Amino acid sequence: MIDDQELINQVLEGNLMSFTILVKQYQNLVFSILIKILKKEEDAEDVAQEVFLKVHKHLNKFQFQSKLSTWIAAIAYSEGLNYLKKSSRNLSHGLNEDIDNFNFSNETPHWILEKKDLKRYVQFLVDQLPVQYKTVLTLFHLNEFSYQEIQQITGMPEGTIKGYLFRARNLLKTKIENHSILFHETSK
Amino acid sequence: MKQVNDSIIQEMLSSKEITQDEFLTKEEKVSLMLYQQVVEAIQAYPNPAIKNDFSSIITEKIVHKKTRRYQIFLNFLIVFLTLFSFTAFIFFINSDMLYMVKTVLFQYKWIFLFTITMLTLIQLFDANRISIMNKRISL
Repeated sequence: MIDDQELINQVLEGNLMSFTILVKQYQNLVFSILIKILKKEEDAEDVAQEVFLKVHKHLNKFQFQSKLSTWIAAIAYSEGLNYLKKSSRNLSHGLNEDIDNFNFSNETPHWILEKKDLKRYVQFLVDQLPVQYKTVLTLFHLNEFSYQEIQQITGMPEGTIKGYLFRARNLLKTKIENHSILFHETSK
Repeated sequence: MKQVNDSIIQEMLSSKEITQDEFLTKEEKVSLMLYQQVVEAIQAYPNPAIKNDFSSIITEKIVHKKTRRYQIFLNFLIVFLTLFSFTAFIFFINSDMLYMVKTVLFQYKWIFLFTITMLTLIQLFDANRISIMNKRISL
């Protein structure tokens, strides 16, 4: 892993090979954020391209006031939301959901129940959560960003982030509690 | 009461202080275990499926954008120079000058024709060579 500062300097000097390294270093992060927001992999890929083109265009404005990963994640989050807002077909699954009264669907795919795979079941539930919940959850637990970094990425106040995290984890725990008998074998 | 316990358990989970769970009741320990399972499941998300050439697609787009910007600049320059030359030609033209231009053109017509033909051929060969090279790279 090359140092971010060195990598940025090389990219700003016009070295495209260094930019390829930068893309490879952060593509998993960008895709993981975009897939949570957009669901479809094809949409995520299109927007990820736009994100990295924007990163290349505005890299000279990056002042190291945050980590490069936080800055790139913030661009990915904002581009993802913009795409979601523009795409009218996704509005019903987008930001307008009543997140305070959210309930999981009662249907569980039979392959999850058959395999008794708790991890896949939780991931299936996470994917059903409203965009704000699942984005904050994955940024915190999967990408390991701090509350302050998530605040920089999403623009949400720290209290809101903590609230979303608490409620999302609570919803997931309650749901798997109800299914604990089903998954008893795997949780042993 | 349960709400408070729940938030404490979640706080323990976030700060990774889960080794100190002696003071928890049996019910709270089950709760903590379930929360741990939730977190472990989120951390176990598979890496997104990304095309192997994703980074190359990005760099190609950057190169394409830069080339396009340069071409637009060149086109503007050509249009500007043509308009400028045309205006200057209209401004300075008179019958003597027209006669002079005509004489020069007829006197050196073979040189003019040869130069234009050669330039066109060079352009064609160059375009052909670039397309062959691009095909080889893509293979």
